[in-house]
Amino acid sequence: MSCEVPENMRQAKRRYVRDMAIAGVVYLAVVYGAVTLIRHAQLDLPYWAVIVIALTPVAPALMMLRGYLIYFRAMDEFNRRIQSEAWLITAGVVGLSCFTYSFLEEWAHLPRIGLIWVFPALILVWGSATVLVRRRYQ
Amino acid sequence: MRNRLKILRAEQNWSQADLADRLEVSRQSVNAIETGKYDPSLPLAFKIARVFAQPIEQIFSDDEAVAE
Repeated sequence: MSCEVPENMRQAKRRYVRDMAIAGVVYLAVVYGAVTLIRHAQLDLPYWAVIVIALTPVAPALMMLRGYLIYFRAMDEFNRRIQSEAWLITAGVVGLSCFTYSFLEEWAHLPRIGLIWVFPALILVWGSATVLVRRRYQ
Repeated sequence: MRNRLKILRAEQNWSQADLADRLEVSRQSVNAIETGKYDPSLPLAFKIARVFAQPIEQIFSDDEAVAE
């Protein structure tokens, strides 16, 4: 049957959506658990335990990365090109923004922005860059 | 790089999606190749040649060679 994407890519997309959904649910559960533990038991916990708890959200984030890489490898070469260009733009925009803002923070005393915002910024810019790059090839 | 993909596809009476199915790529890939916005890799170019049962140089031509 003719369609926009071949069957192997459709299967890969279904797996990607499933992997992301599972990782998303695990992330929410882990963050909720970690916040609860840190807030309610911080005084009783040894420092190493706080570090371990603080690192737990990284596990579902790695699950997401693995899911994306599997999906990326299942794409056809044209879609891999689009994704590669989008990530190149993302690295440039987010990297340069962090670099620029760090000077403003240090020398112009602009408000401090936590590193936690780098990952959401990557996702946001990557989404926009994907749309722009795809449009270029239409 | 120029190509005769659109003409060859029309001769076979295939849609872009039909050709994409045969090449195991997305329809957008076929569209981008046809419009010259994306040059396929050598393995994909060989696959296209196999699908149309034609030598690769009958389907793709180098822009610079054409200019000369």
